Amino acid sequence: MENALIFFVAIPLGAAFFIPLVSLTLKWVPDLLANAVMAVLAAMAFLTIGQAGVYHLGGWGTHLGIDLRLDGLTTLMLVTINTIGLAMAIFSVQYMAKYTSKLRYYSLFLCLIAGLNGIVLTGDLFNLYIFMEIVAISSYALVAFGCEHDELEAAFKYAVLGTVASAFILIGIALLYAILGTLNMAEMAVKLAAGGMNTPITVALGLFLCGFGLKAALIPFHAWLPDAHPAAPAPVSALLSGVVIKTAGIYVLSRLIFNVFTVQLVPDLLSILRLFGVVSMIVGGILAIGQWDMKRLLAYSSISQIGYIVVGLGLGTPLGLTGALFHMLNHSVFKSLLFLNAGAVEYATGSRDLRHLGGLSRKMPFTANMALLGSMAISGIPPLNGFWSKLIIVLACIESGHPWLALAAVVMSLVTLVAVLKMLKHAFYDESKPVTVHATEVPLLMRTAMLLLAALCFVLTLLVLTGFRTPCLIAPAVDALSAWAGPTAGCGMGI
Amino acid sequence: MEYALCLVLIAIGLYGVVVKKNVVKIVISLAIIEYGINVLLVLIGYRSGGCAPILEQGMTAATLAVTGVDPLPQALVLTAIMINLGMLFLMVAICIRLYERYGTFDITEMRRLKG
Amino acid sequence: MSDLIKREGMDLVAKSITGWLKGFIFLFGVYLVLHSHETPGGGFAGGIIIACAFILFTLAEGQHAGMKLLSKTVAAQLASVGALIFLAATVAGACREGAFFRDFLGAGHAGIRSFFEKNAIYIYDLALALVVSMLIYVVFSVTSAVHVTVKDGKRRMLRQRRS
Repeated sequence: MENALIFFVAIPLGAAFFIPLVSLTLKWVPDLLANAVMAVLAAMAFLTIGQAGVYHLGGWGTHLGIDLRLDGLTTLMLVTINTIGLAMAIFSVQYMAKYTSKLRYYSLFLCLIAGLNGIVLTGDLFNLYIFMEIVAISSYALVAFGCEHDELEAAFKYAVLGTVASAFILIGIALLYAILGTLNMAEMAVKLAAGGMNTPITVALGLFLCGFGLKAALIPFHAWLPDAHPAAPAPVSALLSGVVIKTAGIYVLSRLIFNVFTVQLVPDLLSILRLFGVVSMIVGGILAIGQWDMKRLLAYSSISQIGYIVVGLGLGTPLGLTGALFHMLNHSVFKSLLFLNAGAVEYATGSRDLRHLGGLSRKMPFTANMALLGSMAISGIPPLNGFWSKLIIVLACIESGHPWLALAAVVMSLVTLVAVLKMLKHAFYDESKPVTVHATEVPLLMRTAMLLLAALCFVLTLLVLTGFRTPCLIAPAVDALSAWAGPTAGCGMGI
Repeated sequence: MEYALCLVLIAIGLYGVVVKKNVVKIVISLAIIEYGINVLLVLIGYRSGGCAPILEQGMTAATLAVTGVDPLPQALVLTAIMINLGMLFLMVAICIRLYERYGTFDITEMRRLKG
Repeated sequence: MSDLIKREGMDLVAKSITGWLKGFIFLFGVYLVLHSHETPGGGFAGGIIIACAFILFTLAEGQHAGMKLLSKTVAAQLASVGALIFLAATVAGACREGAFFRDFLGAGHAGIRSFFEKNAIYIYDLALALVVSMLIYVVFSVTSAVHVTVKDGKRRMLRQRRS
């Protein structure tokens, strides 16, 4: 399995470079190629379940070369990224037909996927930075894809803040290299455990917290997200909100905090995380209620849900980590579903302003039902997946002695319900407003993508069947976070 | 002392990003931040009086490790420069498009998005 | 005077000097690329110098002559081809030697090895030079060659050649 790891990056990159060569007359080739690539990647991601190992690029050893690392957390992220990516590729076939340049769209989309897969696979800090920049550059370009006022302005804001965040992260990496003399995360963890903390390392940690906090859009650093996510085309908004902020922000933060700077070294770190988390949860949720743009409402709600995940991480207990990672998986599914619904509404009516929409449940019954399902999942209505992950987070808060956090999580769940009900009422169920006449149900492939994600909302519920504290697919990830094996023996061909 | 100069460069860049109203000047400030970081990275690998990290005839790896400067940060800087190049191209392209739409480079006049 | 305006590009001096220099600049870029395995960052530097030859020609002779020599679409496609060659070389390492990025022209492949003289780094650098030169040229032709006119009191930027 280790030898196939590099193809998670190589296949989408190769397809991204191949697509511009396709003649403009063969319009179906990019569609087919992108969907085939995503299907292959999703299948490969499912094959990695239960596997672990290290792959050395070029056959050099860990201390000399670059290595890719597969463990439970990586598997979880790979499955999330590639499954959601497959749904987005299916949705894009018909949705992107209204834009002029589908070739470039697919190129950037596949670059984004390659970068995301690279972030979760890489075993050293500098390659993580490079893959993060690949993700960042392609997502800036995708946000600006519409080339209208809003898109360009949002992309500029996103690019400026993202570049500053990357700069902070690079300074942090430079400091760590100066002190520790290595870039490999496993070796770094060993050297940090031996040497303990000192001032430059604390500074580096603070820089990482700011940088990755900005990438994850935690509340003091959230300014770019409500502009950037609505401006992109709908499948890209779904990917940005559902996967990118989690991979480039939450995944890297948790990897660094729990595996590299182990928590024992920095005891105050967890309370800082909890503070960030609870502030994001409350402020994001309340701001979401006031929005009239459908996608903007969903973007603020993303900030709030990221807050849940960070609170779960900040507890630091195995149950808290389980809840956080489970919620991360669930949120990427239902938030992508809701963004696709918003995209379908925009596709059918040409508007996403809730004040001008209304009564769409008659015209677009399928989309309305999917939106209802997604809303129920995000606000934690029992049979759906959102309920279980929120329940685990709340229980973990109580178990580790933070009843106020538990109360905040429960109350904010109600606030989320209010926000999504506002969206449902004004867009789909309000019969008193003039119905948008020309709207018809969206094409088949777009409905297929929504149906895939809606089915996942039910399927993910089944994960808790293997035990409340050890849901399958999540438990190995928690194990990977709470105890890293350190520098494992090479399974590739070390010299 | 040299490290302080890098920090000054980075601080100047940050100041420009926060204070300047012109989008092109903001892009230039971002470039200055990146240059500061590149200089910092090269300085980290520098050893005063060290030779270039190239294995020459009649030189063993051990002597190179003692006398040469650290080559890894130099490789990192090359990579970082290329990444910054891509970023700069993209941002300049966005600036040109913004100018087409708004007819100005002043960021205070681009107020379609609030909050 | 009128036919001076009609003519594209810069004046006669710039055009003649460019005519002499462009070949040498291009040749110097090719020289750097061919020796890229011996110099640090060879493929990148050589690629940029090759791109500079094209950019100088476009600046001196005007956008139309430049686009006739090498259009944006073709350049972007060549860049893609270069990237694909790079990727193919790395994957060949995975197939023949069992590790991605491993030198697939290493020991045991004497025939191909003698043809390329050195090792797979040579191929990486050639591909890299192609990508870099074409991409720099594409970026130049996309972001430059814009012309601002005042129309109805509002400033507009038009993607046209200078008249």
